[in-house]
Amino acid sequence: MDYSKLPSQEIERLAHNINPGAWAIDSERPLATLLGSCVAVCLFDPQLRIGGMNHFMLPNIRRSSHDDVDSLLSGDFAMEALLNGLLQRGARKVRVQAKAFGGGTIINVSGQSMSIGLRNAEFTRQWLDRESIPLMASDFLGPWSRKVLFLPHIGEVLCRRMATSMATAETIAREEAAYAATLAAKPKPDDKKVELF
Amino acid sequence: MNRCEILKQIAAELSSGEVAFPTNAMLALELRRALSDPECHVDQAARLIKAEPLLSAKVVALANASVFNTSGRPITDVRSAVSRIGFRTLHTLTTSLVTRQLAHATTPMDRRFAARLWEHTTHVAALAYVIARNVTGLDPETALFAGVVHEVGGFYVISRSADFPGLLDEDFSAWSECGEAEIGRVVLRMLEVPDSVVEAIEACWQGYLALPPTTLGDTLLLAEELSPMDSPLRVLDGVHREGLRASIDMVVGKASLSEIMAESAHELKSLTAALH
Repeated sequence: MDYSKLPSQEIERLAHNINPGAWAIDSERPLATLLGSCVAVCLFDPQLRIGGMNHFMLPNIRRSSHDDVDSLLSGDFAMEALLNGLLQRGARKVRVQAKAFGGGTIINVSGQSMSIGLRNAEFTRQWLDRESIPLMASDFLGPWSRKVLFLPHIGEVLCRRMATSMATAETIAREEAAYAATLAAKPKPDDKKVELF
Repeated sequence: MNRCEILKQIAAELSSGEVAFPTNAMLALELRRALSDPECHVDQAARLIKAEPLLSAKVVALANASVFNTSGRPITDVRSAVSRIGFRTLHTLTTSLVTRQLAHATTPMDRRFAARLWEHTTHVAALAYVIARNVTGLDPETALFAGVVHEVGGFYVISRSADFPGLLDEDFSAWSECGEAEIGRVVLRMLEVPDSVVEAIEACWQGYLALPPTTLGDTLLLAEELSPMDSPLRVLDGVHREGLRASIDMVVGKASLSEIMAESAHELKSLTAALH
């Protein structure tokens, strides 16, 4: 089935949904995610025609002087898990391209929500830059939640900004908070081991 | 009746012919019909336009905007202006007059609302023109037209706010949930907007922007997302946007969208001002 010929609602219906903290790779079926202040990065190898998407946020933890290191390692883990997954499927890093989305502020404008989104977006830009992966398109920040649909066989992304009702915003925020809570839990030493390709 | 029901009723009344467009909009439509006549010569067009001061001013202003005035030679008369911009752009400008007249605001608050919606429309129309020409490689005239009519349903709803007091009060999320498409489709059909443009506006309502953008719908949606001024109908959806601008960018050929838009800033400004 050529998913790229389908209307966006149909793509959304058939897509594999990526929850906060998860990632997936596919060469055919669309991938989708719903973002609040989290970020989703889509990586794509145009020659192999395969792509993957993650959905992550940096933890907002205040435990020790090593907080920043912990936080960055968590972001690194999300990105490297996805990249390594692609490399294991035969992708070549020099060919990989990225598109990234999210970092919105959907609730609590005066609080830390805005800075969380900004931090996630900045981390993403820096990580991709450091790994020399070109960022082909991005839509970050603003007051919206975003629905992202990724067609992994052609690398095309459809992004919908959504003026979020309070009820939906609270649902997204709750899911992201639950994910953030898992990040805030002290990781086991083995969890931080990242195998670099 | 809740707001969604009111909006559905407005759409049904308009669709069945129970309620017509405001008088000024009908007059503007008549003018557009006359100007669209293939037999209408430029002299006749100029005479018709001169009877409508607002349109006359816009035709001359647009002819002097940098996108049309590549020679830098200013024009002061309507006939020369029509010759310079051409009949397609004239059709778009006449449609813009219809769009504005649709609002027929009777209270100061509604007039302010209509003015803000028009300002948003001019930004989106000008952006759509520039994006079509420099990013998506589509016909800029069609994109300009699509931008001018993309909020026609909103303008019409303003004219009905007198019949339904409080319709445009704060937290008007019903508009994007059930009014925008219901009423928009009817008004677009009544204005005889071509199917390809209606399709693009429908895509804009659905809200999925392809990155990179390729279609007229993408062009319009990207223009909407880049507009420095939100539609007041969206501001009423209860989401606070102040200080929360988004950052959208992408690679377009050998440049980035932000670079292209920075290079186009002058023509964008002159086009927006001429349409306003």
